[in-house]
Amino acid sequence: MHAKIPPLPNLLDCADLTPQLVASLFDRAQHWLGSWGQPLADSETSKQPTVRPRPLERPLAGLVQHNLFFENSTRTSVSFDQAGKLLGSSVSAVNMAASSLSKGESLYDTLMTLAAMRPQLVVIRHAASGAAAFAAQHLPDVALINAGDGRHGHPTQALLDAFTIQQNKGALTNLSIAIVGDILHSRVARSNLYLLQMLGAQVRLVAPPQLLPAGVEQLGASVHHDLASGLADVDVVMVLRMQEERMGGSFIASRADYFAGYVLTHQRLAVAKPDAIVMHPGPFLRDVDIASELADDPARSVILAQVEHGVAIRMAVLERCALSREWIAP
Amino acid sequence: MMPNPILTHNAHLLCAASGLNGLGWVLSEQGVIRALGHGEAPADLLAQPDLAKVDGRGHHLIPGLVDALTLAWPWQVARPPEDAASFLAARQAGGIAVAAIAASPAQPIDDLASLQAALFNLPTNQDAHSPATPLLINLTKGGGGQQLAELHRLLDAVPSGHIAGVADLSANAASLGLLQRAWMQAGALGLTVHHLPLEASLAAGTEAIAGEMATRLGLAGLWPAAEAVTLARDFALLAAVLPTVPRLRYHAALVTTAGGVAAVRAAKAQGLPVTAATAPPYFLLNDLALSGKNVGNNGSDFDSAAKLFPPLASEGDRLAVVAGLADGTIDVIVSAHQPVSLDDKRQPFGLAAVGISALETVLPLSLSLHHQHGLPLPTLLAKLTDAPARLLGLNRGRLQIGCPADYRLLDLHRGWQIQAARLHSRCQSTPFEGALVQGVLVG
Repeated sequence: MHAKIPPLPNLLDCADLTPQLVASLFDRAQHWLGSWGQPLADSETSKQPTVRPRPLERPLAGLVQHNLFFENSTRTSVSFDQAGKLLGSSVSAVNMAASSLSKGESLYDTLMTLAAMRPQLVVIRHAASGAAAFAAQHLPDVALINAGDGRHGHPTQALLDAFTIQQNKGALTNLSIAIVGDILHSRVARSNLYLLQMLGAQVRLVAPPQLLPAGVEQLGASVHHDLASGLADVDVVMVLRMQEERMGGSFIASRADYFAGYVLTHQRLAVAKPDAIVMHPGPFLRDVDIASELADDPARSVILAQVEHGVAIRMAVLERCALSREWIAP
Repeated sequence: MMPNPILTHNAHLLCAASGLNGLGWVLSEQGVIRALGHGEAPADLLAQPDLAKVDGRGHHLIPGLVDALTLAWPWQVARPPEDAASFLAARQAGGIAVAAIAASPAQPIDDLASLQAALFNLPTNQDAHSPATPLLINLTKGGGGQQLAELHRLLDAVPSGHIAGVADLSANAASLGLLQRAWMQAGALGLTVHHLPLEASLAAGTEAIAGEMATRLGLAGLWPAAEAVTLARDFALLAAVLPTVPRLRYHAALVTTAGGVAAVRAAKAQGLPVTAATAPPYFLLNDLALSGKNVGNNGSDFDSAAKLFPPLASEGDRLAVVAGLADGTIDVIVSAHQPVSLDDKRQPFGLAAVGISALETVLPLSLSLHHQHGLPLPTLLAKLTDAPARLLGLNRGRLQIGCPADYRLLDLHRGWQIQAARLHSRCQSTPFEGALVQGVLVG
């Protein structure tokens, strides 16, 4: 009955995915979810800790994984680190931002040097769009996973976002999802735009015109310049961080001015569906991109669930890449 | 340069400036054309037993090309991406007799030291009257648009002809006020202003033309209207200062968009002293080349060989550039050769250097305008020879008695495949890797 799942030798971009692959990754993420950490109380039914299974399997035992973060990161870096270790791979996490590149070595030479240590799995984050594709081109024998390249892509973030939506809303088909904020500088927006549409959702982009990239309508999204029309009747609101560090010139007048126009509050969310959920890839700026009390509202905000799901999704991706490379048995 | 007399006959002479387009012959001696004509070579010449003869049957005989824009600095000391020997070899292989070198932010020509370094490290410039590598010097100090360059001192320092114009070819950084004063100065000295029509604040930090491709790849986009908006401003300024400095000439160094072509067309219709150039990537490629899927590269996204400045634009822009070449709006085709090292290109797209090895491909790529778009051969050839020579103020690019005998024999139809690894230039980065072209120089 099971159709053969397409291979995923690298994950550079959401274009490497198919609905079938995504479904298999979600299945495995569901399998891994709850397999680590302190048992948590089931908040609704009882105060007794729910016993969670410990991961007995270590499918990636014996594999070597390098996490190369050429750009500062906390959650994604720790998430990949934890995912690899839970699966048993030998993980070296390097903060490259403080390393040889600052000594003038080219990315090519850094990659070649690390490749000589023969890792099988390489997770890369870099400030230049195309860095993951570049690394994959020069390291064909390595399973390469893009943890964010410039403004281009962040496919595991899109997967964990879609997984979180599915956990809360069921299938994504015909859901209406608004992505709000600094679309121009956002790799999260680009990857989500691609993946959410692939899974059948309708995507709206809501931002001031100077923070929207040219031609984005041709990628299938509808575009709104104000929250009132952009959030009307949506099921999900994804808020993005204002990436001031990528704004060479003046893109917004001030944080306060952006707050006045675009910060997400309970009041502004009232035009959305009554059960609409609020997401943020983090790190979020309280009272700049999202109102503090909304970020903390358990009825609306799934921001911390996204983080937990991120580990499970990354476990599923690492495992799928290793399977596709035939380094581990199915 | 052949010192002894040599007769080339039975070739198809082609020169728009001289009105030659048919079977003919050329006699040269001491590197200069001594006689030429249509039809059979004169019987007395053919009868001379010790006169060297070349039978050009089946081939076109064309003037040596004049390239009005390269951004090569083969006099750089430390590991240049192009050295003098490779630059000359690539030029020879490409049929280019004269190649102008433009100042750039990386290699300004704005004082006596940089001017002399440029002139005297290039062996081709020993002929004081007919330099093979004329220079486009900075209009402002360092091309930075902050302070006027010392144009009088620089012009006084070298024989005329060595300085062919002024150019600040970074996205032009000058304020409107400084531009107005600098152009008046250039106009008073009879210098043509070569301008890259992209206003700096619009171009800064961009990696590709804004649009679906740049958005999909997450590249910082250059507003497609930037060129047209800058040209509109430039032409308004030109019209306003022209009554004061009637000798001022404006040359749009690279026109790459539909809006740019339309602006140049309107300026010419208005009677402004304007010329414009483009280069093969802009009439043969569009921004889909960034995906590397156009001409059979490695087929992956983010092909840094296609990282150029100005960036490759849309298909509509490309077609407008072709139309501009056909109707005469664009006068000149340049190579825009900009050698870069392998290390600088072997980077993720955003970090890769802008540049292209273009000297050896400009002729066959341009010939595709004839082969594929039906542009008449004399019209096309004029854009590679006579028009750029006029722009640079040189008596070159023509088949004429007294002109340098830099003509070449061309097999117009023979096909070949562009392979970067076989280029003579030290820079072997080209977005045309693997492209099939027609036109081989056979002599």
